[in-house]
Amino acid sequence: MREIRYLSVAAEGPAIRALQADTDATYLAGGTSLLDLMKLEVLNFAQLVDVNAIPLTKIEVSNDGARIGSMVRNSDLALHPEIAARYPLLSEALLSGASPQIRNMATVGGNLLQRTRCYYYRDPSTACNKRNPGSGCAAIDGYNRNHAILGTSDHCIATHASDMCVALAALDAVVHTQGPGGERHIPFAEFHRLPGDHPEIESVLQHGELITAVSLPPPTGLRQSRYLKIRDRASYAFALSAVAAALRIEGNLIRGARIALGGVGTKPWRAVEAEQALVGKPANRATFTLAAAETVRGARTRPHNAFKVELTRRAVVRALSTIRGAS
Amino acid sequence: MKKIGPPVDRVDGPLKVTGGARYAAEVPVARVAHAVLVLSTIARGRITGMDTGKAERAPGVLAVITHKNAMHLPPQPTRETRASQGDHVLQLLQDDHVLYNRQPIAIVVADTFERAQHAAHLVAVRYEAAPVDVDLLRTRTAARAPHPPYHGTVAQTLPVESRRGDVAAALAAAAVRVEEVYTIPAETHNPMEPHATIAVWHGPTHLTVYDSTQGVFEDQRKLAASLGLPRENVRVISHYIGGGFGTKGAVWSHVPLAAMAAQKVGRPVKLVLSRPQMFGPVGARPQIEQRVVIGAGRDGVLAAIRHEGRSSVSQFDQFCEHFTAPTRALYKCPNLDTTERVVSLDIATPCQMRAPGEVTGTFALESALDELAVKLAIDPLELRLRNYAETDPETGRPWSSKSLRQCYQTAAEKFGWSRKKPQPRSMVDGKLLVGWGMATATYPANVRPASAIATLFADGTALVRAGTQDIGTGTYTVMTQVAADALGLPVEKVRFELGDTDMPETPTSGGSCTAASVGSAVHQACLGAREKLARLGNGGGADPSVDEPFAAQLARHGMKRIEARYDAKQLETRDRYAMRAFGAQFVEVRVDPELGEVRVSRAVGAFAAGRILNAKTARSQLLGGMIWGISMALHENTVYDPKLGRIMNNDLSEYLVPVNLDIPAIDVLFVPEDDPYVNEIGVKGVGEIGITGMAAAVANAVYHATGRRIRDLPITLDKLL
Amino acid sequence: MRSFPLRDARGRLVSLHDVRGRPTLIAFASRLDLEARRDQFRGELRSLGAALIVITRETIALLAPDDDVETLELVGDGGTDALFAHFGVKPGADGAHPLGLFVVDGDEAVVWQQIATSAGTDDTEELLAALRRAATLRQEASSAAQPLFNRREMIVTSLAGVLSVVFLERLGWARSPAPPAPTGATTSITLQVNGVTHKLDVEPRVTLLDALREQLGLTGTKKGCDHGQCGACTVLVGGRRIDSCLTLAIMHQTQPITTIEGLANGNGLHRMQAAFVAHDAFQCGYCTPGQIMSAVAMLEEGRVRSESDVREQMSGNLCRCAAYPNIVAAITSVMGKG
Repeated sequence: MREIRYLSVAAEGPAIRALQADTDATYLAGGTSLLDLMKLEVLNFAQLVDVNAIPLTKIEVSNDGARIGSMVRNSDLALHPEIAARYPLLSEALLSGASPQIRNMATVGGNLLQRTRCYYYRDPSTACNKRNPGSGCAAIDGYNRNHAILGTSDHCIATHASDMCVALAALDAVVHTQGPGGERHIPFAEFHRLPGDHPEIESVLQHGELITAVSLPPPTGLRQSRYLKIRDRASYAFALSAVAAALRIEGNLIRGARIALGGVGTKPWRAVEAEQALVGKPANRATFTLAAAETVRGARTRPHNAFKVELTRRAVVRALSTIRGAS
Repeated sequence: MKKIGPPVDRVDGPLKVTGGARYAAEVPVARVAHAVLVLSTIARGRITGMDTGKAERAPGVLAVITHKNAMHLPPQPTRETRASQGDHVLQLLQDDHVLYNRQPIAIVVADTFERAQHAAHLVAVRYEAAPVDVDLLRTRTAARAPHPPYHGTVAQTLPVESRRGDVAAALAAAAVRVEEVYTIPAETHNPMEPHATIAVWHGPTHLTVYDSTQGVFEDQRKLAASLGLPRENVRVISHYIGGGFGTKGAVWSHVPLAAMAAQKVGRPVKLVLSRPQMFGPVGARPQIEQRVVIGAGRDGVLAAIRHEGRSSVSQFDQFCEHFTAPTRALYKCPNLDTTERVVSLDIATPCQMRAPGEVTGTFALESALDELAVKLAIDPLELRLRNYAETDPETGRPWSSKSLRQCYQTAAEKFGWSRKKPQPRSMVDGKLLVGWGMATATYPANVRPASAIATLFADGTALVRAGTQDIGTGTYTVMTQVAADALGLPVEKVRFELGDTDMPETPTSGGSCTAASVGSAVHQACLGAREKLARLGNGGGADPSVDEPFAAQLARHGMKRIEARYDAKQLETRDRYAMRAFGAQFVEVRVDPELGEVRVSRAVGAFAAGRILNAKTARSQLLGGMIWGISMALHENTVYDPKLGRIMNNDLSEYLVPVNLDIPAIDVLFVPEDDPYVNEIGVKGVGEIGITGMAAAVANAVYHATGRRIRDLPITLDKLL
Repeated sequence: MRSFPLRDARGRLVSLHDVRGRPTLIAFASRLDLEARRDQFRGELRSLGAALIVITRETIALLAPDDDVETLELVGDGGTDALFAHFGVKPGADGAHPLGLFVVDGDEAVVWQQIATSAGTDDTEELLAALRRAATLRQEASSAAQPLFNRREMIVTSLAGVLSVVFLERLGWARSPAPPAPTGATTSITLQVNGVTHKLDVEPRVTLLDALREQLGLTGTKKGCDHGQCGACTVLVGGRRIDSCLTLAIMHQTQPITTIEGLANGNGLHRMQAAFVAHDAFQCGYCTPGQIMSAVAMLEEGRVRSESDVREQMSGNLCRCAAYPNIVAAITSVMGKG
C-alpha cells in the first residue's frame, strides 16, 4: 500500500468537502474491499476519508418500505428482525456472502461498490482495462472460470461479486446519495454501469458523492422468496451462479415475479424478460424452465465459464420450484 | 509402555491457544528490518532492465538487491552434485534469467513492513519474454525419464520403472480389461503460516536463522552451501511451524535471500512471503497424468497391471512423482509394468506434498479397481480381498506387519457397507443422490537415522533434546511421552526440546518418519541415561531391590545431572521385511443431480500403523489427512494462465480448501498392530496415510451416486452438469 | 548461542539451554559482586524462577537458584568488550558502563531489555533491589502451576512483564529502546488492547493486525493471508469479531480490542481455550487464535442452535491441518456447559 493521508470525519459535509478538495481521495468505510485492493496496489488512493464516525447507521422499517443507512454493517442488516421478516431475500443474500467477520465490517454503502474478483484485475502485472484502461483484457483469452456471461463487452468480462446487490436488484432498491451537487435518488437498475468501452467506471457515482442510504419499497407480495447461491464450497466462497427470486402466486397462477442473478453478470443482473415470462402463467416446472431460458438469453461464454449457462438455468428453476414448494 | 498410547493433551497446547507459541516471524529480534521479495511477472526470458531508483528513494528503504548488486555466491547444485532430495536449484539473484513466473528477482529491505512492501511495488522491470509451456495436458514437449538421483519420497530412492512377468501377454489373455487415464492438477500446499525467515548475522561468518521449516538440518546445510559458509557456522531454529505439508521440507530461494539481505543492510532481516507469493516459488504437487491398464479374470483375480504416466517438472531442477509406488505394493498380481516419466515445463520446481506418489498413485489405481469392480459386478471391497497381497508382491518378502484385512472389516462394519445397493443412482435422500465409495490406503513405514540426548537432573526432572520439528504433528507431545515412558517419569516431569541445529541431528519431518525415527532415538537416549546412572553403582547403601528414583540416586552420588546421547542406526531387520502402513477408506457423498454440487456427508477410515504413540494427536493427523483427501477430490486446483505461465488463483479465496461447513462427521478407527521389526518403538507413522485412497473413495462414491466417472480432479460441479 | 559462546570451569561449552527450564537474566555492569550477596541473589532468583548471568569487563559469572556461582569463560576472541558492544551497553562519559539488564528466552532472543543512563554508585545493590521488587510483584501475579513444558515460556512472559513495571518505577533507568520509530509521516495513536492503553507511532496505512504484531509484540494474532480470506487474524473490536488485516489501526482508537493474549483476562485459560486443548482442535496451531476468538464471539452472537450452525458460522476461519471436526467438538462442549 502506498503512503496515505488519513482523515476521520463525523458528518457528511466535511466528508464531501474533503473529497472535493482532493481528486486522489476516496471514502473509507468497512475497508474490506478498499484496503484489500490497496494492499495489492490495484487501487492507489492518496487520501482515505474515514466515514465510520458518520451516524448513517439507522434501519427504519415501516409500511412505506425500508430505509437503511449506508453505514449499517452487513451482519446488523441481515439479522435485523424486521428486515429478516419483511425482506428475507435480503437477509438470505447477505448471510450467504463472505464470512461472519467480514460481514461485521462491511457496510451497505461499501458493498454497493464491491469490486470484482477477476484474477487479472487483482494482479497488477497483467493487462486489465478495468484497472488500467486501455491495457487490454487478459481474462478473455485467459483463465475465465469465475467470469461473467451476461453484460460483457470486448473490453471486460469481470463479474460483479456482491450477493447483497443481487437481492437489492430484485427488490427495486433506490440508492440515496449526497454530493457536491446535492442529493440524488438513484434507482438500483441505473446505479451500476455495464463495462462497455469503459469498464473502469463501475457506477454512476460522481467523485465526492457519498452514499447515505438505500431504500426499499414495501415488499408487497414478495415475501415468498429464495436466494440460491451455488459455489464450489459450502460457505465462504463467491458465487458461480446465484439467483434472487420472489414469486406472488394466487391460485396456481403467478401474479408477480422478481428474478435477479449474481455470479454471472458484469453488474447485479435483473432478469426482466424472465419475470415477464412468468407473470400470468401457471406456477409449474414448465413455466419455470421457460423463464430460466430467458435469464441467459444472449449469454456470451468463454471456454472456462460456459457451464454457467446451464447451471444458471437449473438454478433459476430450482429457486422458483423451492418457492413454489414452500407456498 | 504405559505413557505411550494414551490421548495425552498436547504439551504445547496451552501455548498455542494463548498466542504464546512463537512462530518464526514472531521471534523478537532487536533492530530487525523487513524484507519483501519482488517476483518475476513472466515465466521465461531475460530481465533487460530494472529501475530501482524509485524504490531506493522511498522512505525507510535500506536496500534494494537485484542481480546487479547481489553478493556473488557459489554455484548451485547440478545433476551430479545435488546433496539430497531437497537440494533444489535456487534463484538467488545471480543472473538475469527468468525460469518461471513468480521467480525472485529482487529483494527490498526497509525499516518497516509497510515501507518494504510498497517499495517492492516500485521496482520497475523490463523483460525479454519468450513463449511459455506450462500445461502438462496440452504441451507438445515429450516426456522423458527423470535424471538420477530420482527425486523421490523421503527415505528411499525409488525406481522409475519396474517389470515383473509378461504384462502384454497377460493383458491379451485377460477376460476383462480396464484402461483409463486419470489426471490431477497442480496442487499448492498452503500451510496457514506462510514461509517466514529471520536472519541474524553475528559478524561476517556466523549466521542464525529463525525459519519456518520442516528440516532445520537440511536448512542449515543448504544455507551453508548457498552462502559458502561452513555448516557449523549456521544455526537454524524452528520451534513452532504453522503447517508445512511438504513445502517446508525443502529450502527455497527466500531463505538464503533473507540472509543476503541481512548481510547487505548490516541488520537482522525478517522476510515473510505474502499469500500470493506462496503460489509458485515454494513448490507444488506436480501436474500428473496416469494411465492404468488392468487385466483380470471373470472372478476378479488380477492378471496384469500396467501403470504409467508423467508428471510436470521445471526446466532446471529435478523432481519425479512416484505415483506407481503403491501399485507395486498393494495387490497380488503376477504381471506388472510401471513407468514414471517427467515433462519439463516453464514452471517452478514441484516438490513433495502430503503423501507424494502414494496419494496420486492410489487415486488412479483405486479408481481403476472400482471401474473393474463395476465391469465385473463384484463388490469393490470383495475385489480387493480377492487380490490381497499376503507378502510384498514386488520382493516376495514378508510384511513386518500387515493388518489391512482387519482395516477393511472394521471400517466396512462401522460404515454399514453391506447395506450398499450396487447400482449407480440407486440410493437417494430426498432429491439428492447418495453414493458410497471405498478405497485402500497405504504408506511406507519410513525410518531415518536420528539422534537424541537425554539429561536427568537432581530435582527429578528430565530434559530430552533432538533437533527435530513439530509441524503440528505432535512431536513435542509424543516425544515427551516416549521419554517419560523410558524414564519411568510422569510426563509433567519431562521437557522435550526441539527445532535447533545445536541439538542432536534428526531427519527432515517428511515421509511420516519423525515419530518412528526420533522416537526410537529418544527412547534409546533415555535408556542410555538410566544405564549410565545404574553403572554408577549402589555406593550409597540403598536397597538395590527397590527401584530408587533417579533423583535420589543422583543426590547420593552428589551429581547435579547425568546425560546420555544416542545416535540411531538403521535396523538390520529393515532388509528382511517389507514395511508399510495400511488402511481402508469409506465415503458417502450426496450429489444434487440438477446442480452438480457434491458434499461428503460421511466418512470412515480404519488404519493399522504399528504402535500409536498418542491416540489423540494420531487421530488428528489421520483426520486431517482424510480431509485433505476430500479437498483433493473436490476442491484443489492450481490454475496457470496458459500465456503468462502465472498461477492466477493465487490466494485463499480462489484456491479452494475446505471450510468448516464442507466437512462432515468423520470416524477414524485404529486397528491395533504390534510390529516388532519396524523400529525400536514399533511405530509406522500416521502423517500421510490418511490422505491416500481418499480421493479415489470420493470419486468412486460420486460414480455410485451419479453413474458418472470423473477421472479428472477436482470433481467440480461443472463436470457433473 | 554463537554470539555468546561460554565455557565452564571444566572446559565444557555452556549454552543457555543448560540453564534448563529457566529464563535467563543477563546483567552487564562495570562492577557487580555476585559472590558478596550470593544468598540474597539466589533467593530472589528462586522466586523469579530465573538464572542470572553477570558480565563485567573482567568476569562472567552464572548463578542458578540452586547452584553456587560458576565462573564462565568466553570462547574465542574479542573478550567481554565484544559482548558489551553486541548488547549495545555503551560506556558513559566517565568511561564506566551503565547497568544493563536483559531477559533472554528459550529462543535466546532478548525479550526485554533495560539499560541505565549511567553507571550507578552501587550496581550490586541496585540490581538486587530491582530483582527483589520484581519477585514481590511476581508472587502477587503468580499463576497456576504449569507443566514443565510451558513453564519457561510462561515465566519469560511474566518476568518481562514485572520487570517492565519495576523499571518504570525506578529512576535512573532509561526507557527501553523501542523499535526505532520510523521517520516520516507517522501519527501518534492510542489503542486499548486487552485492557491496556498503548500509545504508538504508526503510519496511517498500518493495519490493526500489523500494529498488534509488529508494534505491540502481540503476535498471538496471526497473519495467514492478509486479505480477509482465512480468519487467522480474527480479534474482537468492541466485542465483535473482525478480520484485523482488513482494517487500519488508526480507525480503532475508541473501541476496546481483545486479542487471544487477553482472552483469559489473566485467569489461566478461557474455557474455550481449554476446550480447544482438550479436544485437540488444532495441529500446527497457527489458525488457532483466530478460531478461538471467532468461536467466543460466535457464542456471544447467540445464533447457534446446532452443530451445522457452528460449522456455517465458523466457516470464516480456515484450518489447513483440517481440525474442523475437533473444532466443532470443542465449541459444542463449551456450549453444552452453558
